[in-house]
Amino acid sequence: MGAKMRAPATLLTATAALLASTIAATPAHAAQPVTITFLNTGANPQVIEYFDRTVIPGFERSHPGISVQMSTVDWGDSFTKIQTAVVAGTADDVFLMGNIFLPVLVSKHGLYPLTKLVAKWPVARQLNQPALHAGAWDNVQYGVPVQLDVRGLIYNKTMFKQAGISAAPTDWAQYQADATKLVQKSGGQVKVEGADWAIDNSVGLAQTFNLLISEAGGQLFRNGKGGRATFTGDSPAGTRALEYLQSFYKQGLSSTSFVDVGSTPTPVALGEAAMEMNNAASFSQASPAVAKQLVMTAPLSAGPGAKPVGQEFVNKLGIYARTKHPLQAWAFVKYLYTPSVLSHWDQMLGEAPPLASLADQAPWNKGVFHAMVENEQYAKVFPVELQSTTIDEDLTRVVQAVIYQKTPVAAALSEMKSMLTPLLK
Amino acid sequence: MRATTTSRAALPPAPLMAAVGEGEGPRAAVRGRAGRATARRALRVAGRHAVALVVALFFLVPMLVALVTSFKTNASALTGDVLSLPSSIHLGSYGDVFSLGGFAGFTKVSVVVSVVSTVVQVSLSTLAGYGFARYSFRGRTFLFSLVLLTLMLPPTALALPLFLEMLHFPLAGGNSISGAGGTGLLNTYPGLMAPYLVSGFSIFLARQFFMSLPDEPGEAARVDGCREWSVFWRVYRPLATPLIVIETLFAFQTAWIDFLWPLIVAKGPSLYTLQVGLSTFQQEFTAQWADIMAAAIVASLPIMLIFIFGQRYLRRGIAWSGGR
Amino acid sequence: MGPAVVLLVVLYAVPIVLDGYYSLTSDQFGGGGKFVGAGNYVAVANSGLFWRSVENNAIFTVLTVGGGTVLALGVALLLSGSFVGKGIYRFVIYLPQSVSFASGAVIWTWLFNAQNGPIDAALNRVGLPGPAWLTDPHLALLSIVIMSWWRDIGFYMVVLIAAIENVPQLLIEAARVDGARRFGVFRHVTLPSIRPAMLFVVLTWGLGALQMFTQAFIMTNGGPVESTYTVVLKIYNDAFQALNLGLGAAEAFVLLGVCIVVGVFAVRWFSRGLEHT
Repeated sequence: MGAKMRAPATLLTATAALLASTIAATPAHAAQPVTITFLNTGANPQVIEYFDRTVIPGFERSHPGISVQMSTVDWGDSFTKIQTAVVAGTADDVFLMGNIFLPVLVSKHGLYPLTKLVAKWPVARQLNQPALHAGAWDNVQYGVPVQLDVRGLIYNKTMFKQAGISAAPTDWAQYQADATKLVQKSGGQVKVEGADWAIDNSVGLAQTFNLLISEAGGQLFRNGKGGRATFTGDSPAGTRALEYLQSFYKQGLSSTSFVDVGSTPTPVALGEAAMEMNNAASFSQASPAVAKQLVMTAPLSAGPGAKPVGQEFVNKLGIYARTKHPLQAWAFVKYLYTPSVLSHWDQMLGEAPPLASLADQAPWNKGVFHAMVENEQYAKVFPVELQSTTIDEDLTRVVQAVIYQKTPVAAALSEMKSMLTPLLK
Repeated sequence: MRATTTSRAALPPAPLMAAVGEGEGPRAAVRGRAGRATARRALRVAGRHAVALVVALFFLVPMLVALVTSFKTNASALTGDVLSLPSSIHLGSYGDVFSLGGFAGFTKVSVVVSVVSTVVQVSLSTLAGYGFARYSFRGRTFLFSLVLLTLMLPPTALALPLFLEMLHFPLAGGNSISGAGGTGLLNTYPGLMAPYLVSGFSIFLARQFFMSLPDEPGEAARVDGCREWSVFWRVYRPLATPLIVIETLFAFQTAWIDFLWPLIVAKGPSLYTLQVGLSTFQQEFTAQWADIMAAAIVASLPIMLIFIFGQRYLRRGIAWSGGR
Repeated sequence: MGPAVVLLVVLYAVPIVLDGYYSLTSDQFGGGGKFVGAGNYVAVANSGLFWRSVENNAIFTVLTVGGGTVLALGVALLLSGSFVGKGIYRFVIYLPQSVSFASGAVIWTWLFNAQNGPIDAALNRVGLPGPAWLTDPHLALLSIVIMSWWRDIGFYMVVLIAAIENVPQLLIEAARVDGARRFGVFRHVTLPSIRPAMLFVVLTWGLGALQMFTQAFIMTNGGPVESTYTVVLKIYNDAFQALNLGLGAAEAFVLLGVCIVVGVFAVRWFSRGLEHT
């Protein structure tokens, strides 16, 4: 009862104090408070928590007047979501794009040109340059890299020891020979897959084919003017790549039933395959016992003496072309490059940071994280075309037919050409 | 043989079960032919149970596997013996699901969308079906063909045209009368509910239902001076409970489990439904099967509850829907 | 009546008409399309993948609905009449209905996993080799059929049980008096009496099967080697991945045509049967 009697006085004091503090905290020249929205694609529950508790409050503290509202979407559905939102005018101010989103979003006039902002941004010079270039289309910068999905060779050292293999393979011939030993050791029927080639319900096989053709000295596409490209996969390098891949299935060194289905772990993470080309995912998916046996090292070269060739997929931040607050959005993008933020974020996703200065700090100076950073030097950026989503689906289907031995290699390559040529116009 | 078959149908279940125990005893021998018939009958019942049990297992085991997996830890769900039971019941995965940022919000959106659209869909479809069944009017055949047409196009195919229609909805979300300038009904509750507000299937069911009811009670009510609305409300609606139950289940389920539409219509978490919000557990490069199973179970829970508690009504409703 | 018709027009008729219009254009969703006449339909006709999808869809529909109806009828016969515990059996068989296709597909992907899935683990334990299920081009579609049976048989079982229990006991007695055996009673009395229910089952299940998408999308993404690619998966990929609205719309209209033909055929076939009884 007494408390209630005192209420009016308390309320008055509180209001006055609040008023005073508001006036004090708001400089006369400050802009209207704005809210920007951020689509954090592929954020797992851990990342969501980190952004909610640390990153966004940190940004809001250092940038009074700007608040951030975060949404998430899983990678599998992100393309649909971002594309439709860009066309509809409901896209978020800042969004995280996968490797292949950029050209198509540019073609829908969905991305804010960042060329001038990036030119004035000192951090840009410290970024991994091929990855930064991957954020440009027709010489305009539209995206900045935040995560590099760098692939290297991962093998199980216990299985290697049991099969009497002393060192990691470095070229195609060794890799195949080791796979043979591993399969023989585990006994006839493929109990343990010698080498896994990333068959999944997504476009893993298209990526594998792309890696192999790069290693063999070829390329899938040759880019021309104005975003036009030509399919160049039907080259001797393409033939070599497909034949090499197919031979693993013909010889029973790899099995089509080892499939990475959506959220299942990779066969290597399960201890069912001995080797693969992948990122750190297998380490985070594996049980502690298996994880201890895994080693990541440099990718392969096609022959002795040749340079290893790996691949990387670049996740980029973009700003929506129709945003009302481009500068506030850019401020948020820049904030995400705070070394501790970027490092922690990428570590939780198992991807390498594009910032060279992080390389000698924990966790990037040890173990698998170190191997990923090291492998950046071999990595070719996965090429992207306007119709890449369709192209990757089509390529996957054809490569699948090759490893199931339903289509001969030559027929597969000409099928690819006739399917992709209209898409590259 | 013929006689025993007939009498078996009339036998109440309890004596049948008792007969199983008696079949091979001395009393059966005394009874002679009748005893052998009882034994045969018992054998038949046992066989029937054996078949039913096998069939039931096919339907039950997948759900049990999901349930058991959700009580394991993520690590043991993947690497341990998949056929084993968890050594202890681990509730961590449910903790992960419930503590997901925004879980309460997603649930609220799902409940609002499903409940409101169910109420609208059920009332409109019931009335429309009643209209199609009880009144003849110009264009009835044409309109009813339209109803049937909606059953023949998959929602996936209509999602993009409907999306563009919502985007250009006149005078909504900053749009002009010609539907330009704003974002229309996107990122709004009406937009989110749009595909579930009316259903051709539901109207079809309602029409079939009301056609199966006799005319006489309605006529009698009209003679007594009832208006058309009262005829429906007082005479036919009370008879329509099985119809309404099944319409409710279908409507609720459609709205509750849809993924693609809320994904593209809701801009951010304030309008994310549970299905969209929980998809965060199925990320690339993670393999948290216990979490995934827990999320699937939590997302199915309301429908399962409707099932368990509304079982009797539901069965009547479904039974009726195919019966006519 | 009025509001329902208005909503039906706004939410269904308008999108259908819009879709019909898009099917005649080269609309790329958000990029101004040109009128291309029958161009998209020609592209559909020339698409090997589309016809492969149609073939898969046809096989899937025949297996799911044909096999499923027989199974549902068998279960319905087993669990109708007086039978202790039938309620529990019915409930269990009916329970998967409460699981969405998406969740069900995730669960079955796990069950069918050839490396560490429970089904193959159980088979291995009793000394049988586990098939590759979803990764074997000859088994993948059948695996999806099995999953679809699991999800849907319960619903149609209830429909059929009701129809069977509605068959007038008098008719059955009469047939027995005439000397009919169990199968004879089923064939000449039960089956003709439940024809309307059978039509409902075949029609609703058939239309659903022709529009199958979620299972293929989640469990196999159309693979391996296109063996589970379905028409709606193709529509989804063309419309949502490639944003080729025109092509997706044309494919949807071809599917619409197929559904109408199948629907009319089913109605005719079952009604003809009705006239004979």
